[in-house]
Amino acid sequence: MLWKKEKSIIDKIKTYLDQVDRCRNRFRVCIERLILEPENAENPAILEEVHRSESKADDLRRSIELQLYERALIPESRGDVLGLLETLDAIPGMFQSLCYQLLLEKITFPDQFRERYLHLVDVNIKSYDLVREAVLGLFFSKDVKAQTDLVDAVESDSDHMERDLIRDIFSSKMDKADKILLKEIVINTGDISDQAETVKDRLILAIIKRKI
Amino acid sequence: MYRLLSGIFMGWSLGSNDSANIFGTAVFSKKIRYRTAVILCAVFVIVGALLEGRAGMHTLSGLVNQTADSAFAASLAAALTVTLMSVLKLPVSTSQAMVGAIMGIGILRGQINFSGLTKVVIAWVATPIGTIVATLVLYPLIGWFLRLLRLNIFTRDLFLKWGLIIAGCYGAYALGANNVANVTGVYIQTGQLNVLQAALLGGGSIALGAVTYSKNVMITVGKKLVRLDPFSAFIAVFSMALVVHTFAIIGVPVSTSQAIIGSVVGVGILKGVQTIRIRTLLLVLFGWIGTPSIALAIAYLIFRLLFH
Repeated sequence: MLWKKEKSIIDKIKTYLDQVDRCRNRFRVCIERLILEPENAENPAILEEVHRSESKADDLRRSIELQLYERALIPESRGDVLGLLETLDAIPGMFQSLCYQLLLEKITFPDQFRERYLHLVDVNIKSYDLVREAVLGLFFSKDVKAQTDLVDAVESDSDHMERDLIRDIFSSKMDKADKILLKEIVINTGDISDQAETVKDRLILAIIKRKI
Repeated sequence: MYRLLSGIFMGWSLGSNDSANIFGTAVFSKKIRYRTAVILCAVFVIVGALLEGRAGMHTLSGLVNQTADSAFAASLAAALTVTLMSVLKLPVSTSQAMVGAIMGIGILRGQINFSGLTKVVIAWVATPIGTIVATLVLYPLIGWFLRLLRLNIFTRDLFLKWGLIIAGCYGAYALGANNVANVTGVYIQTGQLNVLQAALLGGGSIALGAVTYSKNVMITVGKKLVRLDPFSAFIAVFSMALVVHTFAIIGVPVSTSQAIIGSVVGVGILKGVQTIRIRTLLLVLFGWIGTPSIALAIAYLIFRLLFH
């Protein structure tokens, strides 16, 4: 009774995070298909699944925002939660854009870069996984220090891998235009861990503000 | 009967001003609707006045032997002082105005109980010091408890929301118990009211002030206090309520405004930041000296012109 409104928002946030997870899983499947089997006719259908899950996550976030504006939480906390959700919500958007970019621009990774690129994708997905756990911690009373520390380390790994990959792409004998396209994909992939780091920064700020 | 009107006027101005210290933060941070806040405030003020208001009434009625005329003049002088200061936008204490007014009449009639006065003045100085100490103790203690609970952002907010509401209700109770003496205490000695009637009329008029005219002050005070984080604001209101209630039990009417200033200074000490400006401290000092002096002069004049 006392905290019906708050409980309903907590449940919605949980559903939202599960939805983003669904998007993350579909993204992983989709990107592997787009890299390893770029000509597969089923790719648009798989991408459509990524799009649908991203769109559902977006709807859920908007509904949480509306509910938050209806007097749940004190304004200061409301701002923190809204900010966190908005920065986190950029990540499924990035998953989707990356898939569209690969499909629409018909980008094909040469064999020698495929595994390395997929490894970069996994590192960036890991940064999302970590920051998601940390956000859950704020909403569900768990310690988040381990996750937030790791986000930095993973983001740094991703930066190194990005630079190495770009250097090797430009050292290869590909067409210059293809090199530029691949570079863009690599940079956009690395942006996921940058965004995870932004979410982590906001999270830490929210925690510090509540320190007694 | 008309002589009671000055007491009601006094209670009304007290309620319209001091309820801000109690529910300002909760209302301004939108944790509770203004209407709900003033209703809670009114109910708890009356309950406080009825259950624990008599001790303060005895102290005030013991300062000077009152007649119906002197009681009327004292209340009117105190209410005029508070209103004048409010027009000048100076936050003042009704307790200090009332004691000043009673003294003014006492001087004119050559009868003052100095031992009672000493108790009152010590309590004034002890009020902000008391809330500083209460804040220094309560902040780490409740903070430790809160950490122990490991609340998430939502449950923590809920804790603070209800904390602010409960501290507000307690503050209203303490206000009623402590300050009702300022409003109708003088009428007991004259026999115009018995203790129960005085508590009911005093509490009721404070409640009326809270319900009808407290919004602007509440928002102003809330804006100031809300600059503190919600936890600090909760501790500030709770410390204020605790100290004002303690003085209600001892039987000395004190200022809730000065009590809350002490709380805010306490938070500043703990957090290592300056929460209070020199101007605010000067206002506290003015409350101890200036307000009773002005009320004393006004009461002296009113009583001399009308009844002496």
